[in-house]
Amino acid sequence: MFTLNRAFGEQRLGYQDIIDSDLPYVSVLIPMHNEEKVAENVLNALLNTDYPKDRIEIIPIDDNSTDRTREILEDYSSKYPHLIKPLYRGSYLPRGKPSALNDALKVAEGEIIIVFDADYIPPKGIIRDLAVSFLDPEVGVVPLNISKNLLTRLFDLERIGGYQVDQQARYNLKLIPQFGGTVGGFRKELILKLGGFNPKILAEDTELTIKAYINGVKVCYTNRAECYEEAPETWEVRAKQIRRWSRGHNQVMFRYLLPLIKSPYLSLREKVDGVFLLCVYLISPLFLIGLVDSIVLFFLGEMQILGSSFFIFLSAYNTFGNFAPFYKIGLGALLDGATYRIFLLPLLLFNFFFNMWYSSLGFFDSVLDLITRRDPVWHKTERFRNGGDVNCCS
Amino acid sequence: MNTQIGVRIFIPIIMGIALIPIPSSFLTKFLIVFLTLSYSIIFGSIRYAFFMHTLLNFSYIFSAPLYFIFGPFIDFSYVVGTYSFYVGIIAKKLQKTEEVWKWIY
Repeated sequence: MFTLNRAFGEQRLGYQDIIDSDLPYVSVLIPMHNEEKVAENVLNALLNTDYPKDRIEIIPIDDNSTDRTREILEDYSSKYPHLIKPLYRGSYLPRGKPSALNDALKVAEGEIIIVFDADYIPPKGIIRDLAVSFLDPEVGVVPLNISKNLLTRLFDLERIGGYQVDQQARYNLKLIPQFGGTVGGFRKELILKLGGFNPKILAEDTELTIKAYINGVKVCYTNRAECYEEAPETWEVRAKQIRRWSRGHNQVMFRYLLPLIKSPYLSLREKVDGVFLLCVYLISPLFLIGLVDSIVLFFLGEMQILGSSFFIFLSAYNTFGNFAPFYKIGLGALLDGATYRIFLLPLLLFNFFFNMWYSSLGFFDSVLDLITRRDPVWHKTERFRNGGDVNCCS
Repeated sequence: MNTQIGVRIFIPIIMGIALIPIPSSFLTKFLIVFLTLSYSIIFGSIRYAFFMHTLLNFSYIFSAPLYFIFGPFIDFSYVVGTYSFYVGIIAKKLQKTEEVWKWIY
């Protein structure tokens, strides 16, 4: 449905296509923990922004780094004291992105808060593209498209499908586009009213999206704004990332599924989409159970269920459901201007099994979190930055 | 056998739905579906013979890996493979005429 909407439906304009004046004061927050490989690039890229320098402050948050991150921030802070205002968090404070963001919110002076992960390289016009969306008083959160990365092609294809098709189609259909967390903006007043970021939730982005919708706030998706993102270079790092995403997303699902259904601010279609969005990481353990079940049935000689009407259902599901991600990614890549990279699409089949396994582990982690009420520990994604350096003030 | 029949029935539907949004002529899309279906019939027949040969001459213990690794999984691969190959070619052509995609951004 999303793919067809993206191909044939009327596309909703982003606000940057309508209005671009009276720019708000913006605070850019960049949580950092041992980011010496990428810190200079993100700061240089932000210094190159075309946003008026008197309407912006950049707050890199050094979350108890043990490498050269602090040194780099001090250097930039001394060169640009009115623009770059680092926040240093010591080892006595709780670690993690939500805690870091909460502390930064206390010192941020901007009415609009924009968050970048340290591995992102924001292009010149991105702050403006994000900020103008907030000129509509109903818009509280703006996520954006992150369709390009430097290194991993397969990861890139997955991201293209998610942002170029899913998010834009959700925005077109007035459903629930999700705040990506890694790049996006929100009103400071809104996030403070909602109680800040919950440090016990690993998917603070999903939580913010759902909390905002439950409280009647709009999320505006900006597809035109694109940003380079570093992709994990090893399967081990990717596995940890998927497991953490799944765990965090399911934490949000357990916590907000009922409040979302009961929310008086959401239409029926938003509630249905919200339930699908919250339960998306449930699919992996269900597939895994289905796979194990079919192997058991095979050895028990019960596979004749495929000969019954169940087979018709299964085939129909495969047509509209199972194949859908591949076609979604295919169309997304086409829209994104990718060419020969699309040939890699069948390889995503192997990614599917990889993702299924680690998403399932993440789901079981979240179930254990729920039962034991333990607090999850943040594990930062390892950086690999090779090339793609950004020079300042070009 | 049921699985094979199912695959052949659903290939035109699966490919048809997938190719609807792709900007190319109906004839080309029909040709792609036809080629995929033809491949499925030829490949499926050879695979069936190979399965029979393996099971009859060696052991039935091979039935599980044959079904789960070389069964519908492989059918899935070549359907997605054909689709990706075709879309990749179309994308390359479209690069020269990007202006027709007025709502890309």
